[in-house]
Amino acid sequence: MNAPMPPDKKTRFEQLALPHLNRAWQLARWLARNDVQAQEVVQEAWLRAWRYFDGFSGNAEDARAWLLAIVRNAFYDSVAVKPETEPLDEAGPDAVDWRFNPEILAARADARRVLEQALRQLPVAYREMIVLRELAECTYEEIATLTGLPAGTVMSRLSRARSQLAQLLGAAQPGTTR
Amino acid sequence: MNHDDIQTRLSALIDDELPAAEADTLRAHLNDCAECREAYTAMLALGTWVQRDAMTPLPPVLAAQLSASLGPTAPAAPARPVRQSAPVRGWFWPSLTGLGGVLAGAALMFAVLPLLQPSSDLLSQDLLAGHIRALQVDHLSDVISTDQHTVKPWFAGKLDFSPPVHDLVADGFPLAGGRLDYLQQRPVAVLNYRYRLHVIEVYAWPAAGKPVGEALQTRQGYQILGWQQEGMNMWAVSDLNGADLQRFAGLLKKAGGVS
Repeated sequence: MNAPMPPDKKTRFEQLALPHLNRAWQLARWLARNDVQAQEVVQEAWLRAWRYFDGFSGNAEDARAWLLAIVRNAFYDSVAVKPETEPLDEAGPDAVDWRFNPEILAARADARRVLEQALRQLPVAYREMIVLRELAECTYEEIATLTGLPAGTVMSRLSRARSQLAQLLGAAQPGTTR
Repeated sequence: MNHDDIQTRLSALIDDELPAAEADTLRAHLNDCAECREAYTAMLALGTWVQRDAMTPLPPVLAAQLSASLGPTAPAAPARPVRQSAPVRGWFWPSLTGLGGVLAGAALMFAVLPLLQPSSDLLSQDLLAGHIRALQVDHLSDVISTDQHTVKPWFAGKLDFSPPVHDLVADGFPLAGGRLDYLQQRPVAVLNYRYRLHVIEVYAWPAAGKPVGEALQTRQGYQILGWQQEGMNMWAVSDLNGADLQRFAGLLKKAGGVS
């Protein structure tokens, strides 16, 4: 790290990785327990990405899934828990009351806190689906690539994540159905 | 199809991950089935809410630490103007969320805009700046709603006019919300639509003077399309391609009874 390196390598790396840094931060923040741990995860991932950079041959668009995969691995390595080992209620009750109306909740003054609590209650495997899709703006294909899940599983898991989140929000806030 | 299958399809429809034919069938079904339509709009609103409230700003200290952790710094690397060989969209789009993109986008705006745009293009410059600002600070909507009957009244009392609000969900352009902005020395209504992964903002304010024709411009990979309907100046700004944006405008005009 102390050896002089060609100045353009760092520039090239940052031009590729920095556009996705905010996405990396959002993912780390929702995986980790708190912001301190999230910062450690991003720092570890950043160093790993820098080490793997010579082997990265994709373009600027590919860098998103590449960097997010590194963040994800850095997190799961740090907690020694794999998302696959967490029991998931994949075939759970499917009768979500979608008459529940998020628009009313979203308009409340404490909307941010209500959403935060509900998201924190989701199993991490569901939470990361929502974060990868809504905050990191990944396609299903990118999510499949970076999680190693089959594309069909990404689709069903994201759907279940949404209904569980809706259930949590609806249960926390009775009286918000249409 | 059981309940779970339908829900999965609706979820995939929101993400534009269904094959085109299947998506068309499901959209047609949405027009007929109130229950599915409710689930769909609720899911859509949930997503918009997550995008608004689950984001936390990147700690500035973290970005500095990351840059320092890689050793010697090339002078002002992140703020260096974007190389001209880079595809504009590829560099500009990440400015939604990435710090580097924000810096590059800011550098690009300040460095390039004044050179490229004659002063008569102040309006489109303002529109684009407003759009990018809203994306950067993640503040697209003050009222989150997929329901035109919620969005339209929201503007009442905030503006001295009522903007045209039409729901184009069946055509793949769901309404996501609205906000206020300030343009042309007056408050204007901004409506926020989605199309696939794209955000479309429509700026609306009362038209004065004689009607002008449709005008499509491209700035830094964004399309800006202006037209008039229902007595309003309408300007749509998006990174969507020009043809789809014109189709969107056509649908809005049709919904507003303009032939």
